Amino acid sequence: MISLYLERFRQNRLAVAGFLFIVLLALLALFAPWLCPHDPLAQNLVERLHGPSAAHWLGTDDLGRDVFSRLLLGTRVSLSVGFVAVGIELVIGVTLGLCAGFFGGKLDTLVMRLVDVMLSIPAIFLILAVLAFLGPNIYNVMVIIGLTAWPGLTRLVRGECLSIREREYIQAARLSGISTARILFVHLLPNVISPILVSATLGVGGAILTESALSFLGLGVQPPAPSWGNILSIGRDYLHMAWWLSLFPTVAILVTVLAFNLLGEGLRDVLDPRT
Amino acid sequence: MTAYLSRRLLHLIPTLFGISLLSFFLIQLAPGGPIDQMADLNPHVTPAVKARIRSDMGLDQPILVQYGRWLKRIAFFDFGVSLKDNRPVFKKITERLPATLLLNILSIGLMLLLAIPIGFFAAIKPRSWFDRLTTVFVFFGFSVPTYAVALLAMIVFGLRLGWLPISGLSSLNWAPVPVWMKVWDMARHLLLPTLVLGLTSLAGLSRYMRSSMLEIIHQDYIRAAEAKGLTFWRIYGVHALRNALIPLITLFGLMLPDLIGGGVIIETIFAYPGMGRLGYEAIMTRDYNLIMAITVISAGLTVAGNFLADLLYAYVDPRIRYR
Repeated sequence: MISLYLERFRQNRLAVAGFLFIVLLALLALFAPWLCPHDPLAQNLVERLHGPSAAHWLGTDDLGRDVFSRLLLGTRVSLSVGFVAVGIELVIGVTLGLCAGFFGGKLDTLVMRLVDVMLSIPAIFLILAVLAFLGPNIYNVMVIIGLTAWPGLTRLVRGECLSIREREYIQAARLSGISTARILFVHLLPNVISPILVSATLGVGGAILTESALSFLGLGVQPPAPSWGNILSIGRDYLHMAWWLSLFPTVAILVTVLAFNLLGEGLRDVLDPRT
Repeated sequence: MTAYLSRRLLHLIPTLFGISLLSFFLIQLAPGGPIDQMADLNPHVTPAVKARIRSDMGLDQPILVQYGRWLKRIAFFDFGVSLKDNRPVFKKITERLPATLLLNILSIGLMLLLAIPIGFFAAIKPRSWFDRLTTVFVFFGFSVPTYAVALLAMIVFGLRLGWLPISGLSSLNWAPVPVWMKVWDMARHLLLPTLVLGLTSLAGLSRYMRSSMLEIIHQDYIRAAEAKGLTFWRIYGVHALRNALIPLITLFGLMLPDLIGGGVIIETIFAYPGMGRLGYEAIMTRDYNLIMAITVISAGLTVAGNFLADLLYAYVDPRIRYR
């Protein structure tokens, strides 16, 4: 079964490309401090706002810092926010979705009303408010993105769960007296894992986009620490004279999120034979 | 239909209640309170004065009592006054609401106008060059940061080419010009934000339209229509399209908060005088009453939108009503 999936995945060239790019990015993030050609925080006011050159491949920013090095270090921010936020989303979303779908009744009603409430308030609003109140930093960003992302996943998992819980093997498991937690996480979860995987992969891309927007607005990673979003927000101030400050972070975000989306859609094709 | 309608209406009560609860307690996360915010910068405010303001505003009451009072007031659209300029919050919002609705309606219109034909033609000939091209476009649409597209559009059309204004909703020399010039001026200001908001959010909808259409054209009744020898337009443009549009209604309802949320960023970037930017400013200046009001009102708009979507769904698909 696994080898069949692998074979089908291998044939999806775009998904493989996305996957390889993510691996590359993870390596870059891991070794970023050693790979930077310049100190990402070192200011050099003589060389401020220089365009791309042999010394500074992607130019310098308003304080003369090397944009390439800052982008490289920013990879760490984007990937860690993406993965941690989705981790939080998965824990809450999957647990609530499984429980609501499996137990039904009042619990289900309560969880689904909560989902309705969360889905009707624009998430960006909750995120902005929490960051403004509790202070903008990367940890708050990770947590609040995760805490606002779960409702969609909960709805998805619950729906899948509803269609599976009446199957014979679940009935058999219940009759044979296996603990409920075991039924939920050992028997039910593996059978709803495909859509969860797809949604989580797409979710990482979404979280990276959200983080960059927050840093762009000044509510994410605080300078002098670099993140793709806050490099872009400097670029906004120098739109008319330093295009490289806007273009390169945009490309970095675009390609990274694209990689996660291609991988996610590829996984959907591989894991879901219906489409 | 009446039974269905009343059931849906009853559903709204706990949702609206939950929204008010979340909006109210969101504010409690802020360290200090509105008083500290106002008083800390003013050396004349002694602790005694602070305590009096607290009790005047009812902030010394237990939190649940405060919530109850607030809930009672907002039921009559009394959201209190803005801490910034002491004007009624509801008034500040209703001033900004038309601009936001205008921007959203225009960009939603643009989105539907493009997304439906794109999905339709991509599904009719899957794997054709058109399908491939739009698929690539959709993936970029999902992956590109909206605010970066906005910046790019501002650079190209605003600064380099100088064709369009890049901020606000009207030019400074507003008063003395005739009406048609005002409309023209507003249209020019609206063009960039509308394009950015509409084009960046159409990816999801066109993708959904494509898969919905793909599912329909494999149905038996489409084969029957083909067997009868109906024309291409009659089969796809009438029978298939109508049915493919139905599931879009639900998705559309789900997209509403994202559109309003996307508006927050777009409006801030383009300095557009709408509710989204007002909300952003309220959060940045910790204007508590305004934050709570905007959260409740934008969520309320979404709930209303979803309710209308449900009604529309029940109207076009009778199977829903009788369940």
